[in-house]
Amino acid sequence: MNEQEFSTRLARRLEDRLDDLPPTVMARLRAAREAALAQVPVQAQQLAFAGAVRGTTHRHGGLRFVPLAALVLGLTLSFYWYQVARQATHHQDAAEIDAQVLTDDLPIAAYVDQGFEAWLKHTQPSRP
Amino acid sequence: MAKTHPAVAALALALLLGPVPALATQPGALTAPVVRAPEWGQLTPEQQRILAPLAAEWPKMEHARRDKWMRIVRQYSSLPAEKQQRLQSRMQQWASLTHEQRVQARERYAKLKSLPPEKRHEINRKWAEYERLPEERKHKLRQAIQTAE
Repeated sequence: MNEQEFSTRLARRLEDRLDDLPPTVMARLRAAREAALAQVPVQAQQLAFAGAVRGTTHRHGGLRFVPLAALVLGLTLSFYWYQVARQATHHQDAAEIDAQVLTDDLPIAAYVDQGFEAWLKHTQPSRP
Repeated sequence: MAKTHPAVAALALALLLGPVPALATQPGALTAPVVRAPEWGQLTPEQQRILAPLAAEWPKMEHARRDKWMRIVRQYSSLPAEKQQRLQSRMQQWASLTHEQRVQARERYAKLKSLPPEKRHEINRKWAEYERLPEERKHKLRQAIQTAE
């Protein structure tokens, strides 16, 4: 058994036995922890509390969704700006084509008169 | 608490990114931002001079179309005088077309533009020919193409 396997098994064994500790041992552990926490600054205490006490994080329930909310907000904003940029490009392209049609040698009627379309087909040299 | 985040975040990502390909194929779908374009009174005197043929139409025009005209105005100053005049003289006619007619005109313009210069010249010549045809003949040609469709 190498060192890694040994430490994994040891940790598992210790965790398995955690629930079987006598109440007196639990009380001494809690007192020691509280004494230690009393000596560290308030901010560090909060961090230690958040990290160490599993199952009581519901007290911070409102905060746990902050990163997710930020992610959703970020994605929504980036998607919105993507739409803005895409629409602007689309309008710019259409405006450039319109300007070309409006300044072309042929009048607008040549592009909308279906009779002219028929005339072009009619006068087209027949292909073999 | 850390364990729930990747799953929830992945779900949120899937929900957000799922519709993107569908939206990308529909211009202006769902989340398309609303375009705001100026009222006639908010235009500069120079912009009003260029857009003068559209003065009566401007208040009735939707913002997206006004925005397109504003973009055309920006290109106006870089055009030679002859094309500037041509553009102004055609503004009203262009604005009076239906949306479908404008789409058709753009498509036909793109098609003719892709032709080699000699073919374009030929088209111009044929337009001159067509214009000289009697109105009755033009009418028959229009009917013929409508029947063919």
